[in-house]
Amino acid sequence: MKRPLTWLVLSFCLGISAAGISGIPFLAAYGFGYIESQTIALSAYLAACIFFLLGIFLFRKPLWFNLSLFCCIFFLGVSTLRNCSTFPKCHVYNYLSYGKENIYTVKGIVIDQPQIKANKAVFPFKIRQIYFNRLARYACGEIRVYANTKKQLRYGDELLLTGSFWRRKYQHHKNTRNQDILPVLQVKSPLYTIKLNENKGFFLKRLALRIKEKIEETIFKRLSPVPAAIVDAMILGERKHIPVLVYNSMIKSGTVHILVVSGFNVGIVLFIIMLALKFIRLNRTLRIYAAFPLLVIYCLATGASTPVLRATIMAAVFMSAFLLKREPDIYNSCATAAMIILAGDPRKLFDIGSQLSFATVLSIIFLYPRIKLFLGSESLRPKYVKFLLNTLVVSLCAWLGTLGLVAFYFGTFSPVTVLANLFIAPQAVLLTLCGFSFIAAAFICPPAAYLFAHACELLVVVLIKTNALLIKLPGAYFRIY
Amino acid sequence: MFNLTYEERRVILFLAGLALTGLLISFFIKMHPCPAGVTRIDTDSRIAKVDINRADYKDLRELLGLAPGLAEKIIAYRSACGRFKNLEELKEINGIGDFRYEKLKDLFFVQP
Repeated sequence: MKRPLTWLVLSFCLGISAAGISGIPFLAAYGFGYIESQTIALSAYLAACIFFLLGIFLFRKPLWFNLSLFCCIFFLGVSTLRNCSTFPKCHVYNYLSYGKENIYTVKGIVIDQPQIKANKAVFPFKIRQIYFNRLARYACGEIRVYANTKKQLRYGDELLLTGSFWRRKYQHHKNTRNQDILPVLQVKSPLYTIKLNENKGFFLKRLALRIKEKIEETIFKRLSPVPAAIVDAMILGERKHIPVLVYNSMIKSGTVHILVVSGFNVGIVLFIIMLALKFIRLNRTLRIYAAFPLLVIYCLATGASTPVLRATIMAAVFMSAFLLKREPDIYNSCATAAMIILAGDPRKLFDIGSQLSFATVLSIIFLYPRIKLFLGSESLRPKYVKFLLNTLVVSLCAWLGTLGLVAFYFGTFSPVTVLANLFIAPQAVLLTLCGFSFIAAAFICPPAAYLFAHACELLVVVLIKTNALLIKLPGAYFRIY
Repeated sequence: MFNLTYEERRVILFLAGLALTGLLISFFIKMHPCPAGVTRIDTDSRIAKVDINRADYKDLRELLGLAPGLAEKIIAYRSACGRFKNLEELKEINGIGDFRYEKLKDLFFVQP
């Protein structure tokens, strides 16, 4: 099967990497002294245009056309990253002076659900106006707000906030390379948080966050704190309630990925949606059309993190392939997901979550069939041995794919990961299924929800105990730095 | 490498062309934001006012959106008579009556 998108994404990623890592000048004329981001963006853009025109002229010569296209997409990648890191004149960065003595008032919109911790609301905020020196200016850009307030804030609220800015410092700079580190606005007094309007955000996201709020309420009402925190993380991707000890022990065993909403969860949600729609006797085409917006709502409710976004796009590509009566190809759908995510924000290429997500998927889809063929597991009998071996191989592939990245970013090497995943992953599957059943029961038949709640609690206890046992094995994990 | 058919080449060129156009538009929007979006004063008197003794012609025109003639008159008055001691002095400028003064007083303050 042809995989043109894979090559295009590869050249796009190479362009982004070249721009992000080296910052090389693309025209000799600009190669002296400090090179502004805009200049590089424009130079790379001109190069992309030249290769694009060459592509048109060499349309009938496959080799030259391909080369021109490769270069065009490469320079498009460079230009996209540089353009992304170029701030407009009205960007909030252009107005800021950090420090307590500089007081600013900003007007804008809350763009995600605020996290409340001890009367402090923490949320990302999209600025529309900024006031300082008794002047008001139209501004754009995002900041993070730490507001000392008791007000009930939601996504889409229009606020007027007054406070001072400071900039977060990170110890591990390689983790935040090419990432947009948002300035923080500290709002000390509750009087400085004035709500001007409500419901200003995107309606679908508002709906998704309301649903998420309701689900979280149900989880924490019916489960004890630790199981509730773990079920919340596995189903809705909220890790803020997980006890530090549990979280750290999962990092050590390399199984922390189960606490993140990923493609697996999207798969389960899709399966549940399709099953529910099948019960109401919709035909397959209609089921696919109906499933897509529901998947988008789930994606938005979990914060649209890269793994969920990737899985949602891949699922959409697969469903579209069915609608268009084409054979779906996992490499092409993965490339489509990468292209869409990177076109939206090329800095995602340097994001740890994105790298781990794509590395895991690619290593599984590339290595799994080859290792399986090498071991000859297809002919194994009885079936449960074959299932166990295949699970082990998937775990091994994922571990191999992320080994280098985990060692580089987190400084840990966990040989126990393969073994841990053999035991933890099936439990996580059960727990996720049980969690979804519990939520469905809580809304459809509340008295039955307690049955699932107890099952969830039992599974969480078993999961934590298994994990604790595994990290006690000799040589389970090593710290590299 | 890509092994593309003519149809696929057309589609990819079309998409690349669209991406290039979109990038160019995005780049120019960033470089040249619309004039109304650059700066303006807010009508909320609690927060944003301009010191009438410090504002120059550009501030009066761009921040407050005053007419060129009126901005020139305010600058000329300040050059001739010195600092404004209070906002009532605005009425002494030719062309500023009670009606216009009511509108202007919300845009300025006098630093004591």
